[in-house]
Amino acid sequence: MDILIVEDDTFIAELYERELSSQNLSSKIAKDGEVAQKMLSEEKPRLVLLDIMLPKASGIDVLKFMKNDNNLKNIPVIVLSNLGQDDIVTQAMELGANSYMIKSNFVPQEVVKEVKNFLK
Amino acid sequence: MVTTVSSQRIASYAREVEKYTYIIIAYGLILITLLAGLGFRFENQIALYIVSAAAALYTFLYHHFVYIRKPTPTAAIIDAVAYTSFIFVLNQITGGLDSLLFFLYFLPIISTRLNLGPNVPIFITFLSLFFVLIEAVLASHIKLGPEGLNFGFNNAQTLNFGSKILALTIFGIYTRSLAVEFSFEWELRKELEKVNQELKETQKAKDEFLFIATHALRSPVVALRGGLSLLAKGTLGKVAPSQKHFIDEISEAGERLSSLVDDLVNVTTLEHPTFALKKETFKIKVLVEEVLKDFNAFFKEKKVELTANLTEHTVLADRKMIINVIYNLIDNAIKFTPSGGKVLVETSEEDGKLIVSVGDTGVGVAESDTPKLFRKFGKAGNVLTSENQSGIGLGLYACKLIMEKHGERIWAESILGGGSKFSFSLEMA
Repeated sequence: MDILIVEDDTFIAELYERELSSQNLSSKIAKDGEVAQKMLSEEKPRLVLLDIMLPKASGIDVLKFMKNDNNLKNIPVIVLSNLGQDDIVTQAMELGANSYMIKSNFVPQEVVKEVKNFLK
Repeated sequence: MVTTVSSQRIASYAREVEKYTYIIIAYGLILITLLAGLGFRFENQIALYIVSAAAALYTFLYHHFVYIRKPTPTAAIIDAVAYTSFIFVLNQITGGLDSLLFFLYFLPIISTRLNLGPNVPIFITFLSLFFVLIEAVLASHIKLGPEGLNFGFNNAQTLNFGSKILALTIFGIYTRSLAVEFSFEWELRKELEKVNQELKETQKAKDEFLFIATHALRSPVVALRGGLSLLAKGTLGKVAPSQKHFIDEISEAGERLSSLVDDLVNVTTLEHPTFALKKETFKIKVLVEEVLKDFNAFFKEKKVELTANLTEHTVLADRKMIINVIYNLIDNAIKFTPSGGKVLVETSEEDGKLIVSVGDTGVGVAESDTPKLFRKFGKAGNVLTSENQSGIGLGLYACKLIMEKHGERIWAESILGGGSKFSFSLEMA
């Protein structure tokens, strides 16, 4: 698995999955924060696309979980959220996110372009 | 407004208190004089006059200078302490510890209990007990006799009728003031609680709106724009040319919707009471050039000529917010300037401020309409009929909010059909 997409909206997750696939990048989808943590423990992706507002455990929780795990802490994380409040952006970046994108401002092609930048 | 009504009511109550204070003191003094004329004998008559005058003066000064202007808890504590001291002095002058006057000690305790919570009345109670103790000690050890200015260390039996009348008159005033103060405090507190509750509810509604605007409104936009972009690109299968046109049109609408949601989110964030600027110093030229880079393709596409005359000034402002302002102004300039037109972005120094201006040769607005541009949902007459605009009149309003937060100005100069020039000032570092 190249990319783990942590996104609770199935349709949006599928859009990213299709665009990644068209660029020959394999991906899996985690629909909530807990599933994401479980999947991360089982298989290490090359990059994580992470939403913030998620059921069960938030994207911030997932980010903390990753940064506390030596095996996962170096995986690049692109936060992809519709929350643009400064405090949330700052919190995510301080916790070690590599990029923060406001979901509605980028189409899947632009998101995948950013993904490829990190995978270079 | 609720607060204004409350202030007016308090002022009117305060005036009433003062009026009654004077009337009661005047009648009290007349009564004492009459009683004296009828043969009643007062002990310590001069002292009584002095204390009653002092109490009257105090009441006047307190209400006029302290309570009416600023009814703070400290003022109320000082008041309670002062009155407790008055009671002590009066008890002494009117014949020492007396069962009838002793209850007066309870007035400041009750007053502070009702107005200031549990701690202050405990303090006042101890102060009263201290005075009572002194009175008891003085009453049992010192006897200077009933005549003259002897501070009246007499026992209760020697307390005469006139002294009681005067003491009760003075404290009648106090009781009256207390009653009015209670009603002030209660009314004020009730209204403050109501206003606070309303503020909290407004705040909550705004927070909820911000959340809905950012999340609930943006999510469908993501699905719409994302889905269409994959369709247009052919990732989901081949698209017929007849379908492509529709997909492009819907994609454009999706982008406009996304920008509208962003405008709403921006304004809601700026209007939020917790919003604070993050000021830093930066070169204005670098920042403007950064924004212009994003617009290069649009200038070319629309065949609008861009000229930038930028100075090397360093300014102190919230960088991200100033990017928003410049972005909005340039976006509008392109939007309202027809092909072949020109846009000029320049910076200059004026009266110790840095002025950033974005001028265009676009449609312009009537001079009388320029103030409308900065209003919430505000638009000028001819802009309403322009084909080029898709906003809802929040962009310039957001710019105005940003500049106001900086304590700076933003303004427009425009000629109908002759272009516009939008300028704002910045603090130089």
